[in-house]
Amino acid sequence: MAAEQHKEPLDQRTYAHWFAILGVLLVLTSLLSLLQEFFFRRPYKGYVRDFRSTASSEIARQLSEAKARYESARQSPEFKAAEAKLAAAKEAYSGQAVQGQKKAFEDEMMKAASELGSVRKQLQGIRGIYQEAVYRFEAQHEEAAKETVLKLDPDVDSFSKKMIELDARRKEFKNKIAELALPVSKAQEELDAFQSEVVTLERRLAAVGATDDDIKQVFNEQLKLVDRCATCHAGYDVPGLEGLPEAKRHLRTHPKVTDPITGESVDLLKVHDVQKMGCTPCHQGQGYATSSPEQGHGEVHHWLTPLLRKSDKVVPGLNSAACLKCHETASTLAGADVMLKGKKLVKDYGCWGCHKIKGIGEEEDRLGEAQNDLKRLQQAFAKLETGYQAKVEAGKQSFDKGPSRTETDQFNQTRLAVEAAKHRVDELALEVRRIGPNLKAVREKLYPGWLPVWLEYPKKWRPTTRMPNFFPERKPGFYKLESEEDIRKQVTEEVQALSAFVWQNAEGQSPTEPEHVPSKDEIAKGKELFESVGCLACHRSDEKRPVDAGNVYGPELTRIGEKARLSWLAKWIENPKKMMPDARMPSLRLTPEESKLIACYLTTLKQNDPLPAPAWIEDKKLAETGKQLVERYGCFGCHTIKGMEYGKGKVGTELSAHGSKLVEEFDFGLHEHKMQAEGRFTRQGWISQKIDDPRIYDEGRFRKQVDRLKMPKFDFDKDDVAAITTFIMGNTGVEMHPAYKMNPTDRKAAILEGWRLVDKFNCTGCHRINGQGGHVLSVYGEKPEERIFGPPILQREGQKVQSEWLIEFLKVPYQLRPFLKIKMPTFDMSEAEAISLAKFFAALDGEEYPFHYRARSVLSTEETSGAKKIFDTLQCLRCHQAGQEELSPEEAANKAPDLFLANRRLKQDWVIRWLHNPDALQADTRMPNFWQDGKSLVPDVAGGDTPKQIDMLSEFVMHLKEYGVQPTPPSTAPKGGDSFYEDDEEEEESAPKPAEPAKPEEGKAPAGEPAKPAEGTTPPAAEPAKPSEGTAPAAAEPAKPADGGAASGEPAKPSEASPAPAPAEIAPDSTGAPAAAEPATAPAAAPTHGTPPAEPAAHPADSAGGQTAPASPAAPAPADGAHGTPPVQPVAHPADAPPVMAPAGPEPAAPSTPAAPATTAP
Amino acid sequence: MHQFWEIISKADNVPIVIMLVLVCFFTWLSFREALKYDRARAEGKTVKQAVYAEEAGFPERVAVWPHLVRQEFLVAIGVTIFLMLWSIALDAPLEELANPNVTPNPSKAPWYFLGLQELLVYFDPWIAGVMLPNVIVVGLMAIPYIDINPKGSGYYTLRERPLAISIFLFGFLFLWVLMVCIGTFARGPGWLWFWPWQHWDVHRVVAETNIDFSDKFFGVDSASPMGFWIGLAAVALWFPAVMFPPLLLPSFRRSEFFQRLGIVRYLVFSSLLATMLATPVKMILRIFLHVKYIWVTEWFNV
Repeated sequence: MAAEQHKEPLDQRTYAHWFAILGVLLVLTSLLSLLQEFFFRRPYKGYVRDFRSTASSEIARQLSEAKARYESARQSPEFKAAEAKLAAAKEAYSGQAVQGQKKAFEDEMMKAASELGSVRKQLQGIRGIYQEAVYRFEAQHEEAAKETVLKLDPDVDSFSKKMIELDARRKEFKNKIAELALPVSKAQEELDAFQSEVVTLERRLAAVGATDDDIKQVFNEQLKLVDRCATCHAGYDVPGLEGLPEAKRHLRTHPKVTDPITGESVDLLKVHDVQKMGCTPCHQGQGYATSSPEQGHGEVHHWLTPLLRKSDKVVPGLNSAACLKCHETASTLAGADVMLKGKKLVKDYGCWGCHKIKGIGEEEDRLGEAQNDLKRLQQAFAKLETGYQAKVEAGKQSFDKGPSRTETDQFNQTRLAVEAAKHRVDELALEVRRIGPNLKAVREKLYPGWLPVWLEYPKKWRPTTRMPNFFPERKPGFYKLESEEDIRKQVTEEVQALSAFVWQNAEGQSPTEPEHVPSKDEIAKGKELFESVGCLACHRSDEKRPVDAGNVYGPELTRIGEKARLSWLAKWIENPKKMMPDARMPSLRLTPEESKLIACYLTTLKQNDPLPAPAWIEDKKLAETGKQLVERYGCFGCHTIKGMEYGKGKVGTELSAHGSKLVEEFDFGLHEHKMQAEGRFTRQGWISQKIDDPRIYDEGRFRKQVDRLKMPKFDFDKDDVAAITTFIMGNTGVEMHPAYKMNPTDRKAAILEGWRLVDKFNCTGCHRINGQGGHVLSVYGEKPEERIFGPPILQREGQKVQSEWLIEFLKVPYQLRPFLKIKMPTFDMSEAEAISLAKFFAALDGEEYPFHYRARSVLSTEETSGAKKIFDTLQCLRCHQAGQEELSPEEAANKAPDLFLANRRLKQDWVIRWLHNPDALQADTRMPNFWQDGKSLVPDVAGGDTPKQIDMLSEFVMHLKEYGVQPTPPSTAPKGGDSFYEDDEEEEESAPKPAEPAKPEEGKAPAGEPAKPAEGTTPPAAEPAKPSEGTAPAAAEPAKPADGGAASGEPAKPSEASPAPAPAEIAPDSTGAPAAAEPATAPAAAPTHGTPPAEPAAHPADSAGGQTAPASPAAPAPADGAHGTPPVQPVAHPADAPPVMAPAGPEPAAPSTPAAPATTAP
Repeated sequence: MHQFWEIISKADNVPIVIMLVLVCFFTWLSFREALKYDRARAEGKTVKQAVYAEEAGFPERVAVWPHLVRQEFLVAIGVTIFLMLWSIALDAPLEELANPNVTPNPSKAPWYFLGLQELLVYFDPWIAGVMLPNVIVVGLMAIPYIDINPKGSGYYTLRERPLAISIFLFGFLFLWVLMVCIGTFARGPGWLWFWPWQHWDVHRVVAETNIDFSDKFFGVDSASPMGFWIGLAAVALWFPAVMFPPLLLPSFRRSEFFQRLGIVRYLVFSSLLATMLATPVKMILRIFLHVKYIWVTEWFNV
């Protein structure tokens, strides 16, 4: 500048100071940005430092304790012994002999190794040339190369072989050397075991101390996540940091959870590989953020999936919501109890009646789909039919105008498809169970005065009801401009309108004659019955009895007398499914008299007398309003209502993706600011408040009645609200990558499905299954001798019974244990459900399904007499029922299950184990242990060898009839009671009693008069039953060879379910039995859909001694699908020993026309 | 006011706040300099004397290097420091994961386009989003050909370029900066108008009571043929109404301004001016008289 000539004013200015200031500032700013980058933006480094010091000191503390333990262990004789052992081993090792051997081995090894080296070198040289030549020969077809290849080939082989040999030799000596040192290393290991804990801790201490400041991340491409949580939570996989203080809880080891069933501690990190799947799939949060805990936890604005905290201040236990993503079907899950509780509540309280929720209440959706399918097929069939029939008509005139082969096939296929679809609809309809009762019967059932009282506040009338309150209390002014009078008026109007509609929309009429007034005696008898047949498993009738998981299944009956009519109750109890096909209540197979007695008792359960019918109940205009209200409130979600059975949809919002709905999309109404201020402007905040008080977001608004929120109030407590919220929060609608979803094995899936059904039918109300449930047992008392009169505890049921029997039994149960008063109800479950349950029991015990095959070892004559001797000595039949003989109540009280059922019911393996020690299989059983301590009571059989005797006896018991033991004949015809081969009788009074003793001389079944005796036109049984035309399932029943006794009494109904029922088998091994049944040719199969059976339907089996066993008339097939009794798959039984009498002969099939009694005996 | 502070302190809006300060500062600066110059000229000083009023004896021209460059260099350092501090202090205002199913409310354009977005309230999208921006660009390009006044080059003056400066200030400050400010500070959820002291309530409901021009003033349905013609006439008459009145004045025709400009340039200039003025006029009609559209056709509305 000094050199410049100009003296211009601008030029004179110096900017040096500006430059200096700005330069310094720039440097400072740059430094600041570096500081920012390395320290301020990386707070996790502080956490890692903290971890290093905290974890180190914790582990060091553990280490010093371990060292102290080690020091004390050093004084122990075991340690001294180990030390001495090591010293001895070392001395022996360093001794002359061993060392000399070692030297020799080493020399050999070295020799082999050096030879190996030279051979390898030579081979390498040759092989290079050889491989090049091979390549040239192969790829370039050089003739010269061929020469080389052929020349070198043997060399390569020989060198290779040599090399392998030498290597083996070298290894051999190496092993020998190692063997010499083995005693030393073993002794050393023993000694080291004393300080393994110390060593582990020392290693851990070193590892913890060496934790570096780097970001530790998991990258998962499938889930598209980068999780860096372990950077700060560095202790999550370091064992032993569970005990860090609360302030350092973020450095603790990942906690374990407790399995709800086994009570074991489960390490979730072992189940879910964190290194692979990361943390956020379960915990949520912003996995890759490292700038602050708030950012990392995603608890910042704009992060849509914030951390699910166990200690969430609104919804405690919220963290389990995420389990639902992968464990959709789980019913028990370690650590997810809150979510699963919510799921159960949602299921039990019927939330799914109004809200679509994935995985809950989908039976109805499936039924809807099936109905649509059916409709479509029927339309298609109708279209086809008209054209086809016309062609058939035309074909009658001229052959070539008839339908073509293809057309016929198509017509028949479509018809079959329609039938199949119909069947599916019927099956699925059995599975649909709405949460509330069917309302079609209210006129017959209820006193109308009860309706408004109930509707206004159900819980007030019956605190345990699941029905929510549609008119929850609200203060005047809750809605703008609404006075107390307005509220009262609205509630009264709506309650009356709903009552009137429900009343008028019902089917049937109220009885006009006055209800029967029960006598004291009737009430007492009814009470006794009510308390003994099993009602208490589902119902609570006494306010003093505690509420348990079993008895809330059915409605509480403490005030039933104020509500229901005696006449209706009697009919209902007799067979609920007959009154309402979709009833949840099963049938207990009671006689009309018995159910009337129970009804008499029930009507005495009341606090007041029934209210008189209100005047307005028949008001048509009110009912019109009521209909609109029913549509608005969606009553049809839980109740079956005439005219609104199906296809009404769900009135509530779909909840399948509520857990990921944007907070802004929830309508907080005028509560927005308040909830923002309280930190409840969150998904869980909204949902929990909604469940707690469903109408709250209307508060302070001005709303027309039709626009008001309509969700009813369930009066859930705080924990229930939290549980339901957690479950709904888990429904994010996010489809998880299939690789991470719980993919249960068949066995596990069967167990899951089984528990679902157990829950559906409330099996655990009676039975204790795998230690769960058995609630009704509390009624009987805790002592074993009392509990034995309660429902059987199902222990190892899968090992015990045959699946095929179980399926049949579940569908059509009968009395198995005569000494029990409590009954197994008839649930009318679908085929699929029965099979699922059978699979469930098999899976629980790790049994195979469906096969249970065991090679028989048929007893020799000598063995048979031995077994018979044991059987008689032990007096098996003194306790066990033998056949379905009629028992007096006193006898029944002491009778154990029918031994003649064992063949079909039990698995022989189980029988053997059972005989060995009954108590081990079922605690408190009444069955004595006959081989106490392995000692036999019958020492002269099989040399007193207990296992042999038991094997023999089991074979004997499993095939009693084959070995000549006959069931006791029933003394009198059993009344239409609880006999296992009678299940139609309850429905049809006039049904024949098949178990009549048949007098051989008579050509007719003597007592078992068929319901509709043979008319002239009815074909005799020996002829093929003519199936009726049309849709009646003309499944000819496979005739059963005379089986005698229990088994053949099985009512086999036309199997609608399976297109081809199992053909009756012919007993292959009717051993010593005299004149074994010449088994009738069993009709091969039951053709479906009207095709007449190809073979004669039934042939009465020849029975013993040429006696003719008149085939007792088959129980007429129930009038086509009467009451939805599930069809029984006929099971073929080998024709066993000839029955003394043939209680039930082969049954001529009678699909729609009742079969004639077999008048002609062959 | 809490709401206002929340908007101002949002990281997105920092540039707008800075822009406001800068615009005010430079406007003030230019006015101060221009007034100084004009006063000096009124005192009879030469241009050079007026421009360099303080630095007497300063040469009329100085070299860019080093005089300008070294100053620019210092400013560049300063701006770098500022940008670094800014980026340290404020994180990028990222929001949640983009979701095509969710529209933010209010959804706002980048701050420099908020003026155009504001126009959407008053005009059809094709006018506000296509036609007007194009007219603006074309008009800016036309400036060198229309504005042939050589004065004011290299110095500040108000008196020598009153029309150019006032049109610029009106266009820039009122039709651009002010619109940006309105869009930023006064437009809340639903693009409704919120005063700074009002809470941005997502659920706020405001009745739309605007009606079309012909309905309002003639009682004719704007969708009827008659309404169509009335609207067309109103729009068509606007341009001559702005462009021709000055021409009727002999004094204007004789003025140096018009003489220099010539009739063609004048027509181009005045039509652009008419378009520019039409915007605030429409806004005023909308805001104060609740006029929705002037001209309603089947295909577009003006």
